[in-house]
Amino acid sequence: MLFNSYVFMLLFLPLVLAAWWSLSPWPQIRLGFLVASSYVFYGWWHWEFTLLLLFSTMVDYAVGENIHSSMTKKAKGLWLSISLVSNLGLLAYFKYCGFFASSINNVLDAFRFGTPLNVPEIILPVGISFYTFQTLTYCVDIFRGEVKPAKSFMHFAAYVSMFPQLIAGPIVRYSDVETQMQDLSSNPNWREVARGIWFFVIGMCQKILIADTVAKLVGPLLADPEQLQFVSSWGAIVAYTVQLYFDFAGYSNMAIGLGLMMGFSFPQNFDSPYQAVSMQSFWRRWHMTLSSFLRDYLYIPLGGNRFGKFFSYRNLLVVMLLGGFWHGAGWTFVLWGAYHGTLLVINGLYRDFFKIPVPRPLGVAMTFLAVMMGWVLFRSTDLQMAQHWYSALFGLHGIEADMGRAVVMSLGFFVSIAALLFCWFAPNTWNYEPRLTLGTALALGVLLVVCILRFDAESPFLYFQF
Amino acid sequence: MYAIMKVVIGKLQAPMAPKQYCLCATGFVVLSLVLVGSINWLVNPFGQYSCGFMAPIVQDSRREKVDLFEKLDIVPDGLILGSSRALKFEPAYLQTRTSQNFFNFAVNHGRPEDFLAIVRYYKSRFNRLPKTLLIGVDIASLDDVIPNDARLCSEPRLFRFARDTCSWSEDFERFGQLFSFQQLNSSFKSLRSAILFKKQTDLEQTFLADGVIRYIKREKEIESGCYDFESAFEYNQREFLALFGKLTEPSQRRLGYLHETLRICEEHHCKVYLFTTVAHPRLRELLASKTNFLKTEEKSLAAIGSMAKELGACFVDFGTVDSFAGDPNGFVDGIHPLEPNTRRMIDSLLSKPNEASYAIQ
Repeated sequence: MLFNSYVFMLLFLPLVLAAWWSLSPWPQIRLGFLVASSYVFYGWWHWEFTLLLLFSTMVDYAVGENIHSSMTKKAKGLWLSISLVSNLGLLAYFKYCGFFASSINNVLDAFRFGTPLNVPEIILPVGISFYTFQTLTYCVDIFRGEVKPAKSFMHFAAYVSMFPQLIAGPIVRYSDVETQMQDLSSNPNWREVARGIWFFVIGMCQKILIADTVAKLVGPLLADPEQLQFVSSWGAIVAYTVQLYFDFAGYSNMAIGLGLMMGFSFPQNFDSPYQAVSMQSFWRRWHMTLSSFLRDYLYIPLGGNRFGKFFSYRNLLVVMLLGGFWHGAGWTFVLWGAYHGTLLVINGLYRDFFKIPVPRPLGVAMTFLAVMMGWVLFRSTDLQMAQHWYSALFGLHGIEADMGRAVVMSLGFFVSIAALLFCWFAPNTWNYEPRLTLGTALALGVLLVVCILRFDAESPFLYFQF
Repeated sequence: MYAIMKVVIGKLQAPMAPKQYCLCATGFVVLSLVLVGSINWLVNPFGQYSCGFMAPIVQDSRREKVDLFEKLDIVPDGLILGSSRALKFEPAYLQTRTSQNFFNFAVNHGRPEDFLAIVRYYKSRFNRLPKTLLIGVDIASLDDVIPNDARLCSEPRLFRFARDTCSWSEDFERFGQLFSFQQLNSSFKSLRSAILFKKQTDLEQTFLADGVIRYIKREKEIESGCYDFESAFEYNQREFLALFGKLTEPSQRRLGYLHETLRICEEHHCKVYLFTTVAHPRLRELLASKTNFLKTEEKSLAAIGSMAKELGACFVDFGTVDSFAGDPNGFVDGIHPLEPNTRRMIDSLLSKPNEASYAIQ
């Protein structure tokens, strides 16, 4: 189910909120209801995949209990490895199986051995990358002794499946919601609900009014990437830069808003990333819950920066490469990860060896340009498309043969620029507290109604594919 | 005036208790949606709901076809079913070839659930089935990515025979459409026309008494030699590239409706000619190179073919112009064949052996 759908807005959300607060005297039933409604939300797309979600939840709940009750480090490690195999196995099968098979075929074919492997056509269960990471962090945190196992299976199932953040994050760790789940508020904190409405409406506007408007420009341009020339390729890259940010940040804000309406507080996921002055700062502001996941569960276990500069750079590269691969099973994502890893290393080298401060506007501009160039790899369906797009950006396919298209495109381009100015200069949703007045209530109401009226052009969120 | 504005601004800026604030925002949204929904339901610009205060501003082929069918003096021996791509199959030409009286019951976006509903409708009306049925199937119409057409749900005379094909979520989606900007915009247009007593005079197309379509504007332009085929083609190109980009494989649900249609026909000894609809060679080439059209087509042909074999229907694949010795210039756009091509398809269909055959070319 999509947040921007009639069935969610007009039926699911009102019913769930009403029932959630009405059931407050019975916490266990309440959690059960949250799990059930989250499974309905998830199963709306393909009910069969709720079984996968249930499987993952059951395995990690059992593993968590066993890690906690095991006496020796070895036994704990053994249980943890079951969680790792199960979660990474699910990801490997559903997300990467086809990619590995076709890559092996390509290599064998290059050496004239033909293509012996069948490339399986497996439907990627939506949100699998997010919930497998959440269940994994739960087991790792118990292993490290940072959290205690969930109070009951229902607590854990509610944590894993909680519908606001189930499909595209933010990646919530059990420690983030542990106390909130154990001590469910029985009455709505109206100030928090008001904040929730603010986040939700702003997120919805980011998605419907900005991302989807810009998508109308990006879609036709990239439907036939071979037609891209200098003007259109720059139009496409700027528009996609805007679309991706507002789409994903919009989803995160809606998720956070929904959480607040239900009495949960989720971590921040975006902190105006296009205002970043360096690549390091960008990754502290973009998809923050993934960045912190990669830092705590990959970078630091690899050694972090404890063994000198060289190893710290190597670790950065490895982490970003894997981070890129997490986003999608394709060489474009691997390259995108490698590109960001390299940029982070360059950033580190500059910081460590040159130590000359970069003026803020220059830092923002350079970081933005570097990030934007990376989105070409992120958006391209294959390496040929990326290659064509890059060469068009450098004018190798001519300026623009179809100036009519360029004129139409320029309208969308202005919307993108306006949105970018907003990204650069407007305060972040987290840093702005609207005054609780009739004017703001009506303004948010008007914005939400306008968004609902635009649901007829229903469009899924870009990050659902990961 | 200034004083009133001052009071209003003061009210708008006055701080509120959080609970009051939340209820105010929610209440405003609910009231606005009720208002929008009521306007759209009462005006019903697309004829999607049962309310009939005002005439819909759009043409609805299902409604018009049922109206025409119910006005027929003679019960037709045969029906032509399909989507807009079968709207140019002429009953008159079929009559010269078969001596049977036909009616073209093809409808816009006609899908298997439409075929089933129409066959059931015919049966309930005359307590028998037609002698012959020509069914043009679009490859895309078998995929579940495309939901049921809301216009089938809003035509009560057909929908009572297709109730089982419409899911609860699709019904809800139709309800949700009450709150769409597109519908609100059309409601205002409709209201403005009603207030100004403006009648719709610029009809793009109309249906003749036997159900065949007449593209009023386009046919005039073709006759005068000023028809812009390329623009029409480009429109289909965009639409179909996007459509086939989303398609996966024929759904069991839709194949089930087709199967049920054929089963009823077999049970009542109705001769069925099934065929896949044609696309302009250039569009086909484009779809083949840029989408997984060929793969989808292959799966659909295999499924329809085996179904036809099982239920004694004659099945011919007219996917390419060559398959019926057609004319690439005989199209009004990328997907809609004109009479020269539909006649050749009829010739080709009827030249198949009289007994049930499986004739994928």
